[in-house]
Amino acid sequence: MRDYGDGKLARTFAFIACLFLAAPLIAVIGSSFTSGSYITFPPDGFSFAPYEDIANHPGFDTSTWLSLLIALIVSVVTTLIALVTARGLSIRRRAGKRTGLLDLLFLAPIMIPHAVLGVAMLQLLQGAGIPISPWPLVLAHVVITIPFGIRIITTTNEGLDLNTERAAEILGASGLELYLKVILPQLRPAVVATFFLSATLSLGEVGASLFLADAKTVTLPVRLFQFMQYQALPFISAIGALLIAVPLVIALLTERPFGLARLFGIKAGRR
Amino acid sequence: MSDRTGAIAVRGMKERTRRGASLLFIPGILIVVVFLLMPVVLLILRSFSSSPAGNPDIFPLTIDNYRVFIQQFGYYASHFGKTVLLAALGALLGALVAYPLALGIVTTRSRSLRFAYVFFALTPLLVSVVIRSYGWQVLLGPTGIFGQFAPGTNGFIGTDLAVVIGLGHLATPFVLLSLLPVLDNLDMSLIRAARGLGANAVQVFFQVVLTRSMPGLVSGLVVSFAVGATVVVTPQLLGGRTDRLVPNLIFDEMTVQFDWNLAASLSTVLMVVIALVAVAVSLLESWLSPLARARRASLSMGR
Repeated sequence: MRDYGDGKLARTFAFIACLFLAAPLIAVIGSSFTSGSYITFPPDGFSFAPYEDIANHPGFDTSTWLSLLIALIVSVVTTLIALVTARGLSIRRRAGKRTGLLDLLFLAPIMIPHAVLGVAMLQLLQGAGIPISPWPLVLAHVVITIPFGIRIITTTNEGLDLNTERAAEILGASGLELYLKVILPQLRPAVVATFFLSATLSLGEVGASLFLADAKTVTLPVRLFQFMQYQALPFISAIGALLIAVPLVIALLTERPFGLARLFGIKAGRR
Repeated sequence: MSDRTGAIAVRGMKERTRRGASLLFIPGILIVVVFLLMPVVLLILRSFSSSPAGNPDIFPLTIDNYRVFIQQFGYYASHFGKTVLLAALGALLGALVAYPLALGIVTTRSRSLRFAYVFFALTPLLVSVVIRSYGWQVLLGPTGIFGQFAPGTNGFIGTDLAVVIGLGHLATPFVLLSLLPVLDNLDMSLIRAARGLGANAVQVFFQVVLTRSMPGLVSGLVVSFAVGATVVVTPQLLGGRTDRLVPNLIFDEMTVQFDWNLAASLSTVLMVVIALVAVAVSLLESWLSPLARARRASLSMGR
């Protein structure tokens, strides 16, 4: 009965689900090759004109650099914090102690809406008299990405073979040595997945960033949003298509070795 | 399985490993408390502030910012009601999309099909909500593949349907996040037993798979609801200009009206509404769960 849920009916539903998830992405990519002057899907002819038009719109380049810089810092910080926290959680769990409250705390960022976080941070900054800079954005993104990072690394941690750790202990490895030489190398795929996911989430985050944006801290998705509210031009599709294609291609190429699927709490490549 | 042997080995381990363990939580706790909980507590305080907008002082406190909800009860009730309704429909649509995908990921024997499912499941997380909502705008807009069949000149843009579709797309990955681990741990022998007892695939789905995965499904629905009820971008791009959702009202108060006290009280009420819905849904779930039903049945039998 292993084939349960893999029959014709189940496959049809799953196929429709995939189509639904892909539809808006296909529309963005498709409309980015239009040769007309307005956005249509299916596109009107075929050309690279919308891509060439990106350069004619100032501001998008500085926003891109800002977003990339923020994403880089966020992914480093999130990965480090997630590693340390996941290690703490796994030590506690193996010692038979409860982790419920800690789990809840580290899950809280998923439950607190991004917009509320943005509003709250902006009001906090103003109350403390701190001028707006990219740093609050970095911190907000770290808060937002931490639960995902902890989840990816914890899932991998749970799957590690305890015997290697025990062997290292018996051979006299110190706590730090044990971690750096035995555990960390085994976590390498999870570290890569965490790094990539937090960079991608940061790069696309808009809920909190929207509120923390002033003239100098407009990230790329915020600038896109501000622009597309008033005007719809094909070059927006072109930028969108790039923002879809780059992470998806990276994910496609790295999924087998590094496995973002860990995020879902399932072991990639099992069975 | 190896848990018990693990515990014994750990007991024998050097104490310092364990004592140092709590230090490992410091950075994570610090970040979450200082940059998440503290701003949110201050936001709630701000919602009780009597100082005028633009003044960083919060004190003295008052409940004036909440009086507006009573004075204009009808106005806010309709906006909150619509927000709750559309977010709930979005979460349900997300669950409808996520469930077959999750089931496919867990059960399919084909490795490449499984890979494709996982890849599609990941796509929404890897692409910004701005781009995804924009994609729906293209599809549902007047020149889009679906929008051209809509009555009127604006396609489906501005309709509740468009917002629900956008919110459903937003919700799918969050349902998957809670649902997949539960489905992955589902005991396949239960399915085998049910089939052996003569249940058909549909009966097995509704009576075994769906019931067993209910906790994961419900927590996924709650998270998606919370996300959908607070997102600014999707209703701003796909929704109407007149009958707007609460996150958009907050956005206006923050960036156009500059009434930050009202923005704070709106945010606080929104969080309370979301929490109430979450509590109600999980109470309902535990009331309806088979385990609880069985317990009630045995109690009423006078045990």
